[in-house]
Amino acid sequence: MQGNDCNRETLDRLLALAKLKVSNEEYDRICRDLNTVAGYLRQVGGLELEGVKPLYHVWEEGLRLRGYGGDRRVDVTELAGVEVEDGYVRVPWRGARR
Amino acid sequence: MIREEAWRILEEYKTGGLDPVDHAAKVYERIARWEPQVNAFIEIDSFDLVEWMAEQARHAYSAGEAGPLEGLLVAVKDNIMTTRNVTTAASRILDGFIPPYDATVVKKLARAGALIHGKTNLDEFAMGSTTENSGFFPTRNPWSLDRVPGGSSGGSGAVLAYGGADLALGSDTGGSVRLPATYTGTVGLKPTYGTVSRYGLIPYANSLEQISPMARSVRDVALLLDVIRGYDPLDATSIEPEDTVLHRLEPADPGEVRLCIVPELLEGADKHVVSIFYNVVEWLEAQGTLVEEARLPSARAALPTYYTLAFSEAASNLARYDGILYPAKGESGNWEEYMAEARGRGFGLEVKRRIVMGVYALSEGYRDEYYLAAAKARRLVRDEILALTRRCIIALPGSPVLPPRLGEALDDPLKLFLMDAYTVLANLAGVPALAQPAGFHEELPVGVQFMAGKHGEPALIRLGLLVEEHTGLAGVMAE
Repeated sequence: MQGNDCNRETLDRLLALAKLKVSNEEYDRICRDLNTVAGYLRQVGGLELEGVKPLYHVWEEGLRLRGYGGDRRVDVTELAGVEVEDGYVRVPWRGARR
Repeated sequence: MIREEAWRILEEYKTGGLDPVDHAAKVYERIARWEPQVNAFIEIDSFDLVEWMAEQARHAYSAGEAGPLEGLLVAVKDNIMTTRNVTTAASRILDGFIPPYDATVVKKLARAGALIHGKTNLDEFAMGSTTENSGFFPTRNPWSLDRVPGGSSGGSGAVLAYGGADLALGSDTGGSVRLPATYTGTVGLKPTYGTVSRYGLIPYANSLEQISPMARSVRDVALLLDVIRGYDPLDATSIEPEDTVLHRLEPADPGEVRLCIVPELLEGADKHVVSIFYNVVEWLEAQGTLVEEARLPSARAALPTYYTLAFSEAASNLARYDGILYPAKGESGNWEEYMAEARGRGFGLEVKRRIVMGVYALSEGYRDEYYLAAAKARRLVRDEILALTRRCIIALPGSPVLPPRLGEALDDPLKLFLMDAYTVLANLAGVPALAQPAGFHEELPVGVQFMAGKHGEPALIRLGLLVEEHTGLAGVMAE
């Protein structure tokens, strides 16, 4: 996306990818901000990045796999507040306060 | 000015000069006075419960079994999981969520005898710099009620500033502890990445964020950091911290400190902020500290680099809120429509904006131009900061501006981003950074920030204690 080309098609595609529904007012705000913010983020390209390796973890030199691999399991029924009802697990956090 | 420091309260508990129940009652009187105006807490425990917990602390002292934080009231940012209270990350999509396990730091606090008495407000999912983006209500700055307390840990900063807690936990993704500390006249320390477990922190941008201690003095943040840090096998990015006992350190000898300032970063900052910053630097220099000017050439791209990475990680992390497992629900349509509806109802505008930007930065055709470029730029920024902090401690203001008025920055995302100009550097590089009060301009707090190399927490604490000797602001709170 360059300049002011935030059009409905671009934003609709992003909203579909993000699985997001927005109000009309939010749609207009995000469309406007998408231009401004994308232009700002493109400033990164102003640095000389040729030959630079991407950095995904600040201490990449010390990264290691967990010792116990994938064999550790948590039994959901042992977690606080969990009930089992007719073979179904009832999680404690359903239901909003407001 | 009223002053109160947690380590002094502990000393009084030990000598019998102060009773934990009486202290808890005093804190709750302040909460009753301030909270209706400030709105720092999302949820707060009843005094009956806290009184009971304080009685247990009293018994622990009598029995000689007191933990290192026994009887202190600790407020916890509401993106850190607690099984006794709701944990919402200030988002309606998590309203009513009671986590099935406690965060590692919460378990450590409980073992240390701390009394967790409430969950503090934040920008939704920690996305913001003012605490106005909370899904529930904005928090106000106790020093000036028409101003913001900074963000995203603004609830924790505000509650400390009015004396509603002895210590507090925040999380710092791009300055979310240091900015509130700067705006509320409190102290925040972002530790070296990996040295405090993130297990139980609701994630926003994993590669950048750290649970971080907040308090009203440098010795108090050291006290809290001593308890919460440590290797945790439940956090894949956890590393061993260095093993100095931080809260027993003495102020640095000024002649042993080497400080770097980066003048180009101060261009455009508020003149009052710059003036108070130089006041601290010049005092240190007069005491014998070597102060030199330095350059960080890639720092000009630090903010867009930070935001590109943070948005991208946010888009990925928040994909888990699908309207099925967590409280917010959709109503009709197929699965995709149901999910979009639930997310549309549950997330606020700022969260939606950041998810969209993150999806954009990661999407086909744009990934190399945005996300990959930012990951490369991060290496340049990190390497420059690691190289400079091997030579000196970097000094900067905590923020380029004074605390804005409510609503002042909310409409303009770029204005909001600029508040983080001095703080994102430490997150991109993974290094520790301390923000503490430097002075006041017309009754508004102004902060100074120091950044050290990996595992440089002892040097920061010692320098912070020295600076407190100059400012005299340890323990200060709003009246």
